[in-house]
Amino acid sequence: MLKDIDMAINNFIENQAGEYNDMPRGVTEREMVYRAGNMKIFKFKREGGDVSNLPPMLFVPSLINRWYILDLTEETSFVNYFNKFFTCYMIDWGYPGSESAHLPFSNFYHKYLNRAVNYICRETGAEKINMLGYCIGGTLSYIYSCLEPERVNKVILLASPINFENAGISSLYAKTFPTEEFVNSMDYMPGPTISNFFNNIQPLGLLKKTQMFHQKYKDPKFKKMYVAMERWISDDGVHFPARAYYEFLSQLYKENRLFKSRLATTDETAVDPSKRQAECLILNATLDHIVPLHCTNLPPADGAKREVLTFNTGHVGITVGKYGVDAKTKAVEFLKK
Amino acid sequence: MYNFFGDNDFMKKMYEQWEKMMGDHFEKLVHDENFVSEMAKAMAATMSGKFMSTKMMDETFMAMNLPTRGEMVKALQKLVDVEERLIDLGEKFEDFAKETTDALTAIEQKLGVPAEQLPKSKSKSKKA
Repeated sequence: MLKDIDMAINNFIENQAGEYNDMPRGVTEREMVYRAGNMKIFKFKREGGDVSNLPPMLFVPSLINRWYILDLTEETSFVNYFNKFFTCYMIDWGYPGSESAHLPFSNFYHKYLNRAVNYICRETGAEKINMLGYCIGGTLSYIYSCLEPERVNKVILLASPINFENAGISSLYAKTFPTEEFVNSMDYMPGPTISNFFNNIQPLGLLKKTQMFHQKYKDPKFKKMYVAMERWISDDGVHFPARAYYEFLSQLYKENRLFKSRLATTDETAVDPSKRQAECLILNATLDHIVPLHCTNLPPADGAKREVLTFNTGHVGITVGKYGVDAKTKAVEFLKK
Repeated sequence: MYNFFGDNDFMKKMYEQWEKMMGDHFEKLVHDENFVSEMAKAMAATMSGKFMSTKMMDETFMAMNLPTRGEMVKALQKLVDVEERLIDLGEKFEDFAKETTDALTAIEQKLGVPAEQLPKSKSKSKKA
């Protein structure tokens, strides 16, 4: 009986989504050029071949969602726009499972990013690259630019938390999260649980979203965007490996080590923001309830040049909303300066 | 608002009021430290329960001389470690190969002779 209801709901959703249900996940043409474990690197195809006079661009997505939020539709795609000016690469963190439970957080922000940068530099002949990180991807890019200052030309932090002090409701959840029990019993933080947490932050958000869908679903533009977003946010969750999640919560959210210049990799290499050289563009959003404005501040020890641009939108709106166009235009201007 | 109530203004207003009230209430609730800490305790209890049941299952399988889930996960993780090591070695090898090629090219340019035509150095160890 329950199975039948579930099937009926799924059929209804698929019928409503119509042609958009088969939309590609990531719209810009690409090829997988590198694979190591779960991590993949995509290179985006562009007319006229590689750009040789500007450093290549590496997109670093969040660890808790899939990469294609930055390439969701033709109209909103960051990748599509950046690809006109730079040779673009994207990291896909894949779908980590129990086999990745023991990997430390530093593997993601140092070892794997280093592999990606090594590969790109080897392929393009460039000595430095530009990076754009979204959400936790920005945190990873920032830490990488502290650890390997000579390899990063410019870095863009798109709604990325760096200062975890009073990071809103996420801090409160992190403070009370049963980390010890979690490490003893789980191989990863399940993707759907993470997704539910974000739903809980705005308890009536789901209801409002459904209302909006019923009001506007006849507009094909809206429907396309809605289906694309839902497929990304609800239908494609990613697990967060246990040890990395534990370290992320305890070292960043609870102890705020990055901002206090006390973070270190597993092999005891210090993450020192004062060593950073790459010029930085911070793109943040006033209505961001996941990464409040003050959380995008760089550590006091960081003396590198920076620019801050604030948009009157939310955490996801800054990538796919109407302000996303401004954000990507400014980002490209910053990189071309 | 979703037009479920048609032109019934009273119902519409009532729904809006309900939505606002519930919204405020839930907003307060999910931001309340006591509520969040109670939720965390419930989560901790569930995780402890999972830990115990996994342990019991593992013990049962061990008693039957069968591989446990924990052992299989550990084996998978070892494989990941081996894979990681191989990738690292592969990268080091590629770097080394690139350095060697660059060095040879530099010699070539300096001497104006292709590297293949340079006299080969004599091996110190003699083959038996």
